[in-house]
Amino acid sequence: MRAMKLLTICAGLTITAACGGQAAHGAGSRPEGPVTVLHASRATNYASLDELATASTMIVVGTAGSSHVENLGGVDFTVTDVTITDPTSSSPSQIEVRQTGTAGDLTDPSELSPILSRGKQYLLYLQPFELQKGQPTGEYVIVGDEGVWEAGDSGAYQLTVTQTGLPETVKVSDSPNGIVVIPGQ
Amino acid sequence: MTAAALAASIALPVIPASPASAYATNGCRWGGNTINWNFYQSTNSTYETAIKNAAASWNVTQFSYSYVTSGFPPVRANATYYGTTGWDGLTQYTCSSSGFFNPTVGVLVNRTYTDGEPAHEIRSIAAHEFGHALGLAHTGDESTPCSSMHLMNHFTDARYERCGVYTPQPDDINGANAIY
Repeated sequence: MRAMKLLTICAGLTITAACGGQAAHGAGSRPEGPVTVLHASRATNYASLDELATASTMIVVGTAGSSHVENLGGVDFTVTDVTITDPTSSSPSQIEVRQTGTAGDLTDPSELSPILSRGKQYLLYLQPFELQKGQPTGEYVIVGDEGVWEAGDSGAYQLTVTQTGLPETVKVSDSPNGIVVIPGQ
Repeated sequence: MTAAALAASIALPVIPASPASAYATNGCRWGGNTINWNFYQSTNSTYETAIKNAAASWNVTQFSYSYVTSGFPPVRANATYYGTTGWDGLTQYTCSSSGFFNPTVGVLVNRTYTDGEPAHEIRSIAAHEFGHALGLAHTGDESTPCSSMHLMNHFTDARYERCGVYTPQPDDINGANAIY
């Protein structure tokens, strides 16, 4: 069971700043005082790259830049500037990607995607962020909060979330029609 | 270390019970067996009824939620438009160094995904989040068979849409009773 794998040095202890180490929700320093814990219930789980692609309006490779935090309905969201590595004529060169929580929060990658880390490169399956469906805001979100892979040293990309039907590792190549994503190493 | 591996190694404290019990706790609890709650802001009657029923569904355990009509109780629920975030329910809290919830714990329903859905689905999502707010963690995954499905499974399409679960199941109840 996934739950068995999540025991950590903090198991049995409370979630506080003294728990040490980086927050699971992304790199960054832990704030003073108790850490905010988030538990999310997934609205949709994607079983394949094809399903993910169908739900996406944009599939890009980009580098995370600066970010800021916004609060909406009592929940903090991190909005990160992402510079697209090889923009096509139909895609912007820079976009904003919204994620739930902040780098200092404690959460689980089976529930929420880790906050994009500045300077790191990602493969992102994106759709417009809409507060109400059909009303885009100009920002983007990761499809299902699942379609995000981080570039590794070997040229492969590693899925940053867990408990999905998506391949854990993919490779990316360019084609005249845009990037091509290939499961596996 | 990859981000996924790092995240997997430093993550929420999910404390599983023995395999026969099939529930997990999040390491935080309330000091008493009854907690007051109400809404951050008013919502429509469909959501109000579903969320009230969701909280009350835990009252079959040794823990109970008590709705209050005014004030700022330790647990507050909200149903609003959080956008296409990927989640339809969220619980937000901090935990003291001695293992107790700090007020206020937020139990949140994302109307971007739930508007137009059956009342029992809204209730399933809210009841699941109220489960976190009393100290339970997730169990199971997308492939969990319906015969083993719990309210604390965090995939709404599996928990409710495939298996129709919207109230605490025996192991969810066992988990709440183990804490309280």
